[in-house]
Amino acid sequence: MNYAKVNGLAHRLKLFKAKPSWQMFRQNYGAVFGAAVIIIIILLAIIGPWIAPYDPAQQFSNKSFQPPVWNIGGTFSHFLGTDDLGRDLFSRLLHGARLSLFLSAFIVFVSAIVGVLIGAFTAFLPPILRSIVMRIMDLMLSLPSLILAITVVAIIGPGITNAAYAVILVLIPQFVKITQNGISQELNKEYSMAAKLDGASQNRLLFKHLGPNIVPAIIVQITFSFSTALLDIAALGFLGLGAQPPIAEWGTMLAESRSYIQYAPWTMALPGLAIFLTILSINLLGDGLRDALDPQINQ
Amino acid sequence: MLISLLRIFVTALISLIGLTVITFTISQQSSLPLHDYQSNSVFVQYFEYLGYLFQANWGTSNITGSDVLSEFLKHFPATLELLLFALLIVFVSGISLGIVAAKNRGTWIDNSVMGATLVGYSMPIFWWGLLLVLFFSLFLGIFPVAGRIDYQYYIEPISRFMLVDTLIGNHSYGMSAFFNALNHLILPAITLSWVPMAIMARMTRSALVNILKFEYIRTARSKGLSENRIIWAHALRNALQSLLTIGGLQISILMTGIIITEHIFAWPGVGNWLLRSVARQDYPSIQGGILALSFMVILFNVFIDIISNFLDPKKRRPLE
Repeated sequence: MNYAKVNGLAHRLKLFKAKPSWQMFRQNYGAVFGAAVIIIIILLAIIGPWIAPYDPAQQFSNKSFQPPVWNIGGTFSHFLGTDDLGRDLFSRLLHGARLSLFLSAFIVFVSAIVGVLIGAFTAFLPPILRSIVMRIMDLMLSLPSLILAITVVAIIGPGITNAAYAVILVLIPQFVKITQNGISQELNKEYSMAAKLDGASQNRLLFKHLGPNIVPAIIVQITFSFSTALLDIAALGFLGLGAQPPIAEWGTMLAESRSYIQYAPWTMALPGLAIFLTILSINLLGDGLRDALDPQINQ
Repeated sequence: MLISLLRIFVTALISLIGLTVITFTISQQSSLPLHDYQSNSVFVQYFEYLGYLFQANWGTSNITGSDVLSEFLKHFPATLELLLFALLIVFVSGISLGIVAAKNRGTWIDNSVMGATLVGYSMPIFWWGLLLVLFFSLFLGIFPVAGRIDYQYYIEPISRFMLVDTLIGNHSYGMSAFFNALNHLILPAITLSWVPMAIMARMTRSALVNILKFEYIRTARSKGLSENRIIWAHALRNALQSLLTIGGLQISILMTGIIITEHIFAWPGVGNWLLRSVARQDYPSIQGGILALSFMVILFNVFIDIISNFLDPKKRRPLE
């Protein structure tokens, strides 16, 4: 009897009574809340250009520092208020959401693909070469992400594209480590041995047998990397190394608002709140996914 | 043990080689070479660069003309002071919050501490710092907005740690200078320690909750020991090793945070110096700043590795 049949039999005999992932996820209210908020933010980012009342760069010079609608002096025409140059904050926030989310998605996409490929390749290298690659990854991981990003920006210059390259580089090592560790660990388990003895080819072993056991950890890492990417892009923007004014990016908007926080606190509060809410929801979602998909990590 | 220590040092050595390659690349961006290299080949120049580093010659800034290493040493005490103060907050309040949550696990106290820490670790600290300034400095007016000490105080730099200098220095302000400096330290330290403190509290709680399931805790309970004694004397003692390691990992988060915090509070430390150097493309200084900060992180990791090796024999792995 080959191992797949044993596996199937075990399932039929209900030896594994694990709850389906979706049920576990649904019971985690924080995760559901996070998922809901992040879906709303993604929708806002997608339909942003159509619902934004003004162009994010349009300046109403006679209307600078208009407070939000719930403050004295606020109007519905600029219902989240305006900044120092009289630009509509709601339109700028929507534009910022689009920029932050799409850029972070792109960054995570690239670094996940590169990282997983390097990791999978490394797992099959001879031990000495593997050790060298992993030590390099350890170096990149041990350096604080912002210092690494500043290094990259210092070499290739500030700006949003270069900041994106920097963050891609920062995120790659985690994916390499997870993939490499996952493959090495799974290869030593009995089921891979059984599959090998059963005559499975390298590719079949990798994609059919190891893959499903590694993918959950990678999905969880993707969620957390997404929040790191968003936070790092905003931090670089805030430090003046990422997106440059007049681009409407949340971190850059926060940096511009610094001089006016006493006079116009909403120009600081709103972009920060946007960053915070997005990060919080992604983290809640990530925690929920981790508990639902990969109970081992949680232990 | 010896092999395990060797593994730690080899790892650190590879990290240092990687690091110096990176900083050498940065120094190559400069229009003027950082040092007088004898050779034309970049490969040989790298080794010459290493030689200069060992002779404490880190180059001169092409903007200010000052020596990079002494410039770093001038800014470093301010950074270290803030870092140590924040680390103290991380350990003391992080661990206490974790203990409170673990002791009351499952109750509303536990839930609210865990909720607060979840909010804590999702907080972008550059926003958090501004909110603290808005509320405590501008609205309540109890903490200063920026800097290390008010302008009316002239404190001669001796150790360059403001708290120490105001105490031992020869000046006529009495204790008011010390409290002024302490007052300046509080908001930056809270900003900096916020995220690691939240992580520390969560980790302490989960470590304690795991340990409290063990048989020996049941034995202790059946002996009639109080819950306090069980947590402090039995559970925490065994959690300490993992807490130390986790605390050590926070140094990386603190290093990222310190650059942002110094930027917000105009703190005259290494982070601000590094940002200023990036803004004016002062490559020798960028090279020096990144080298020094990263070197500290690597050194700290080695330190934590060695300690956890001593504490936990299971960590002693052979050379890979």
